[in-house]
Amino acid sequence: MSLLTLKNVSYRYEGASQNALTDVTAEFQNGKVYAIAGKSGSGKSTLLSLIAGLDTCTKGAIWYRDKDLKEIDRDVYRSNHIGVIFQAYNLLTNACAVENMLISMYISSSGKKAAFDGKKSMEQAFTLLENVGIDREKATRKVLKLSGGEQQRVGIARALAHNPDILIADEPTGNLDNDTENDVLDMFTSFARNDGKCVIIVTHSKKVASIADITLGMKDGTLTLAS
Amino acid sequence: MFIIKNSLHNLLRNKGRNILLAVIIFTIIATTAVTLIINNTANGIIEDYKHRFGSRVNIVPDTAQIMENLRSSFGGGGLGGIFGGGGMGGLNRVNMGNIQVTAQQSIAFAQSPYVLTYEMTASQPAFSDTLNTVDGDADLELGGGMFGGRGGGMGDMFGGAMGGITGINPDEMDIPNLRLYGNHWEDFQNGLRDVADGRFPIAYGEAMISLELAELNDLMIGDTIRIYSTLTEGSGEDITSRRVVHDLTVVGIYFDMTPENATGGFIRASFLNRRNEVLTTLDTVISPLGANESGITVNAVYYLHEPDMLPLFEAELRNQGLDPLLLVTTNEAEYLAIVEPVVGLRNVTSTFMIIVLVLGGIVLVVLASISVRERKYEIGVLRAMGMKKKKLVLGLLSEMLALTVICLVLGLTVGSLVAQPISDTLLAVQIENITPEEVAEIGGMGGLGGLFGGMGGARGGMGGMFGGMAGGNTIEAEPLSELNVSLGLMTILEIIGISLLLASLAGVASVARITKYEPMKILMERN
Repeated sequence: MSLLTLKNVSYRYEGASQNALTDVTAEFQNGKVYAIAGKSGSGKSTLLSLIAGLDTCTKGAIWYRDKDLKEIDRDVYRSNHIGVIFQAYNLLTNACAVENMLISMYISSSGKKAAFDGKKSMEQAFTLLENVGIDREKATRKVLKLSGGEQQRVGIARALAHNPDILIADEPTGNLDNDTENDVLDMFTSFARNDGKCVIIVTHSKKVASIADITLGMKDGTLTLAS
Repeated sequence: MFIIKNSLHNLLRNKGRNILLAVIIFTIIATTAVTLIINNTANGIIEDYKHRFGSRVNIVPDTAQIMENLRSSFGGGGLGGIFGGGGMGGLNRVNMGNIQVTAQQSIAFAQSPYVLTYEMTASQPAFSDTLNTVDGDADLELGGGMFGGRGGGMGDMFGGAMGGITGINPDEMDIPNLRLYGNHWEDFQNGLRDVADGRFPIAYGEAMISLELAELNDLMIGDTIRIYSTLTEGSGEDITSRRVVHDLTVVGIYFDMTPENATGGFIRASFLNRRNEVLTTLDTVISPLGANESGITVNAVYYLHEPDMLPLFEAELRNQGLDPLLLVTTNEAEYLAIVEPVVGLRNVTSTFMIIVLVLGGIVLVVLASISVRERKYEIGVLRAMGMKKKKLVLGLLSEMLALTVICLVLGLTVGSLVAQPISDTLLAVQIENITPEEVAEIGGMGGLGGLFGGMGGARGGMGGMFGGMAGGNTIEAEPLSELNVSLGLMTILEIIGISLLLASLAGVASVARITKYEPMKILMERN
């Protein structure tokens, strides 16, 4: 069974005359890396937002496992099953890196049996940040005092913090140097292939697309299979 | 717990915005604390005075109605005629109806279920043929002029005591040379008398006499004196009298600090001399009084359970035969004179508090709303990560609450420190604002009461000349010039309540905004 299924998904922004997405149908499986490529304005980010449960499609349906997203609590879906790496990082700018991680972990712990353990979670957060190249000193700095690349790495660590089933990344390596980009891409592939998770990356980068098992093309709001 | 901890961290993370909010909240709370502290103290004082004065009932003549009656009685002669020849003492000769509360009535009124307690004194002219009295020698000198006519001439002097008794052979009458007082300790409280030896009478038949009277008669504690008083019954031609014997044991001797001859030597008579006053218990004076007898003046002040019971109490008194020309009244003028500045102060602070709360509340709501708007991005990120709206609201409310608690502690501290000087300043302004006209008006009302005070006296009283025995509504009270404010538990609770209300108000404003936000829109706006 597919982890995520898009069935004729259409989306139109409020007040817009045209659909941003039209009849998008796709299936996403565990253990695979997907790349979605396309020009700016083709609907890639809109598609990611719908998959991330940030909004609901105006037509069609998105199924997570055997349930329509419309029928499940989207807050729980976002906090437990989805990890999002935003193009603009979207970190809490008045908090430090580790606090961003802790808040994410706290949110995902809601509704779970095990209570949120602050100390334990903090150690996990430091480890995750170290995995993406953020040491403890930087981890306790306010994120605005980190470079763009460092902020992006914090965003990646935060998305992985609650061990989601699906990792969605919008241009995740755009601000990273070559070495870090390689490290991050290794993490994505490991996350998919070793941990059996689904990774969906929106990218312009051929290098990023090259690690994908399946590359999808996006044009004028419709999805095509590129490879 | 994490959400609350995070909220506390957020207070520090957003210092600038929170300091601004804190200043507003602190100002509102401190101002509210000051006004509530002053208000509640003022209210307590007003209520206390209201209860004391509102429940303290006097029975006084209806001066306006009496004057009207007098005008009617004297036709074109006017009031000049009333006082023309005989001076004020002549008032008792005017037919004014039965404007008096009899001793029996005074005692019966005290039994009303509306009366919580009462203060009652009794007095009665008395006579002793064995005791040497202070100024007793003057009685002999005055005998021909003052008492010569007895039944005719004494009317002016002794008013209701004897002047009204006609048809009695004057030779059979005891000429008062003493005065018997029951429960009359006010002079001791006022510092006009002091206990020189022994103690106050507490039991029936015990008495206290003046030092001078004791020395004149070689009386000591434990000695017994015999004095007589007269009680009368009936009226007009049918009046009868009987002599009452009082065998009193001297248990105390008092020292009177007033000048020995209060009239400055103008009139010397033993009956008028304070040092001939024999003080005893109320029971000793009134117990011989028969159901239809007179000759004892009873003055009473009644304290009702509640001020609101006055109409019921008055109705009961009217049913028991209280004269319509007598008013059952509380000392409202005195109450108003005392509390007026405090009422003014309370009004000023109440108005100020309302203005501060309304304006402060509006500013706070606007600021809270702006604050949430500024944090829209943060809210969007948290929502995108899956934080539920209710947790967001809880977080924001926790922040607001923590901020309010800090401001509450500071505001209460500062408020309680500055409340007293502010209260003093405002009260001084209120006292200054009382116009001389207002004081004169209140004073005039009291003066009128004083003029007719003696008219309430029973037959044994001194009549108009020595008026005041029945106690008119004389205003001696000074307006309150000090208000010692204090921070009571109720005030603290009220301030906490108002603070929580403000926090809730700001919280509701925040929540109203949050519920409108969708994470995708917020993040797209930012991106």
